[in-house]
Amino acid sequence: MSDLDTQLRDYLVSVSPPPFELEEIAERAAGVTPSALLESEVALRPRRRWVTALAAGVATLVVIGGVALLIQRANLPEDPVSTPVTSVIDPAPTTTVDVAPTTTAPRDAASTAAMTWTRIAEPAVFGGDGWQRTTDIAVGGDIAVAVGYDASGGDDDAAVWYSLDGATWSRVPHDEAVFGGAGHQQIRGVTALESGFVAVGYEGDFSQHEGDTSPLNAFGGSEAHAAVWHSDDGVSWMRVPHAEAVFGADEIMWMNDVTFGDSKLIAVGTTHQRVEQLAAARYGPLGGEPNPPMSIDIDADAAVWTSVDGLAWSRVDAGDEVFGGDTVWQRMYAVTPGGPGFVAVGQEGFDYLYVDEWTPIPGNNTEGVEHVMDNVAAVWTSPDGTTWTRVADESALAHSGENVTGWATMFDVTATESGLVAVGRDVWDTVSGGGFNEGAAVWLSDDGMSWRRVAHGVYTGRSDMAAVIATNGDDLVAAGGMLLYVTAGAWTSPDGGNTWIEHPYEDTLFGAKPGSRSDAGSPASIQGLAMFDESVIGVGTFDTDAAVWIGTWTDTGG
Amino acid sequence: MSNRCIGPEGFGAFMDEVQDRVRFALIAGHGPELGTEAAADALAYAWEHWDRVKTMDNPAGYVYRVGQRLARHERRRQLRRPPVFPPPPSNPPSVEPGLPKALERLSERQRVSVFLVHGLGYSYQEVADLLGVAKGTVQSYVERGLSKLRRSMGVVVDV
Repeated sequence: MSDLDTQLRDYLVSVSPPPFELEEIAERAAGVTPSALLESEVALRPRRRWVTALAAGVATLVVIGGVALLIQRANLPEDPVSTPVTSVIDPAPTTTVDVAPTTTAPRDAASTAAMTWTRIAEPAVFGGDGWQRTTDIAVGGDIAVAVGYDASGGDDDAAVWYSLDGATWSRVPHDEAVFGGAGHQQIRGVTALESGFVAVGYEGDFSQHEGDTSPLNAFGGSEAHAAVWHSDDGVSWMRVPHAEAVFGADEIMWMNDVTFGDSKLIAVGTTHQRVEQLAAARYGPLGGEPNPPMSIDIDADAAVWTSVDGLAWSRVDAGDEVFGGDTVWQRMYAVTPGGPGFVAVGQEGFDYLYVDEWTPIPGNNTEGVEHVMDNVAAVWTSPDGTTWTRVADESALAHSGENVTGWATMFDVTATESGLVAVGRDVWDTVSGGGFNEGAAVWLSDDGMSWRRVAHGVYTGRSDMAAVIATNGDDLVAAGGMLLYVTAGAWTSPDGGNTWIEHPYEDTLFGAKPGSRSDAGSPASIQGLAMFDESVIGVGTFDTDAAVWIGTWTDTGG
Repeated sequence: MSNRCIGPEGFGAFMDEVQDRVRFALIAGHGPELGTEAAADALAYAWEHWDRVKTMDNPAGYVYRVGQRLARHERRRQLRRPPVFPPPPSNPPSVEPGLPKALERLSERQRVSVFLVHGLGYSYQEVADLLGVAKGTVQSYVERGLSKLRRSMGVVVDV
């Protein structure tokens, strides 16, 4: 028998028809109209997208993040930050919004005001050895609380900062029993109650890119379960005891966000099945390997928890049709009161797994290879927090690419006077396959049920949007940035999200993009926003430190 | 017959240049029947949009992706029937009887990469350009695909 190369060539030639003649192609072009077929497919299945090239890009990002993390952790000290310290504003890194680039006329006087951003640069409060990150902020009464984590102790420990005026911040002293423990603890969301605060996140053993606060890159490792913290005043915190039935036992589970509305708390996040075993059962061995060497997350489902007091929690069981589905990932990143009651947003699609590497087991979910197609923004609604409905596929939820790989994700959502606004990221492959188009993305809805996409405008090609708040009626502020990848950015909208002004960029304010793996730059990311008095407070990361920005409206007299 | 006599200017030469690579890649990925149809429709799509396609950096890769999309669309319409690789009609003696079934066990990209690199002699870079992935990824597809093929066909390879 001949060698394999010859066999492959002979077989392929023997089963293939002869080459096409140009007339045949001309006939098809004039008759069957493949264009119509493609457009019809888009109309019928707008979620179907290609992703492999995108995953390669994300994998590259993961590697860069991992390298940066290793660099950071090479010099970790023995002791975590344990002493509360106080900060003051560094007035140097300041910039002012230029309203000139706006694409439409502002609606009212409030919208004509410029916004001045100031970053609070105080390493004694927000810094330390290794990584410190703020991921979210909530304001309750007269105190602002920022949450996140601190990797100075060798692994991530939950961390909390607070301020009584938005400008001067203090770190809640580290308490190992509350914020630490075995493995990593990260707080990823916080909300204010009628009295007190509730923060949510996870505790677990994560081995990959913990330093990256972007929710896009938060993904499971070997062990993790949801975690909740509670405070009566924002300064003294307790850890809600772990309950396996609610927060997870064997599965990987974490909370990304929490909100308070209708006298109840709603937390949202993701739960994973045990990955390799499930994948092998459903799709067969990976590349013929019964024990694939890489960590693989597959079949993550959205997850919701409810509580009336922040201490006793219940896990919502809405079934696979609502929280799961037939694609690999369903993740909830944010939740807000609004629409019919509550609206949660996130992403459905493919992540780090090259699904078409799997060998489908005949007769057992042979559509496995099809799962890689979908990368769409996802929305769920609920009238009461316990009964949830998945918003049907809409073309507005797909990414902007045509016939190329792409990824659309909603990272945050907020209610306005006129409806709902979701923000996130839109990435799609270039037609040539040589890179990616990417930019912030905005979706609008009157009722939470039906969504439309705001056309790309001045914000294309910059940071993603990770957070959005309504500051006054339909006035909005959004901010974002994907750490280790792009810099932070901020935007305002005067009209409920229909038009946006991108705030001027400055390295010292919003971070410098890394030049290479060895050049960490000063990457920055704003992950959370809140109104505090008359200012907007943004929290996130600048370089390796947690960071807080203050945005103030400056009346231009317009 | 020359492909340079009719159609938009430059399309015939383009078709001569890319047709084999695109056609065999789609056949490798989706089987002879569906892959051939997808390749023809993808080239027709390129004809229709030639003004745009001819300016692209990687028009062959684009046409391949169009064909891939059409093939996947059709497979969904056929209730996600997996691609079928029939026994060779002419029964060439060089081909082991177990090869077609073994090919069905490979993933789409593994098949495309193995066929194009080992069966047709394209370089890793040429296949990477077509698939829109890195060269190293194609190498990985090829290695995994060959490994799986050998196991499926009972070929023991000394390591």
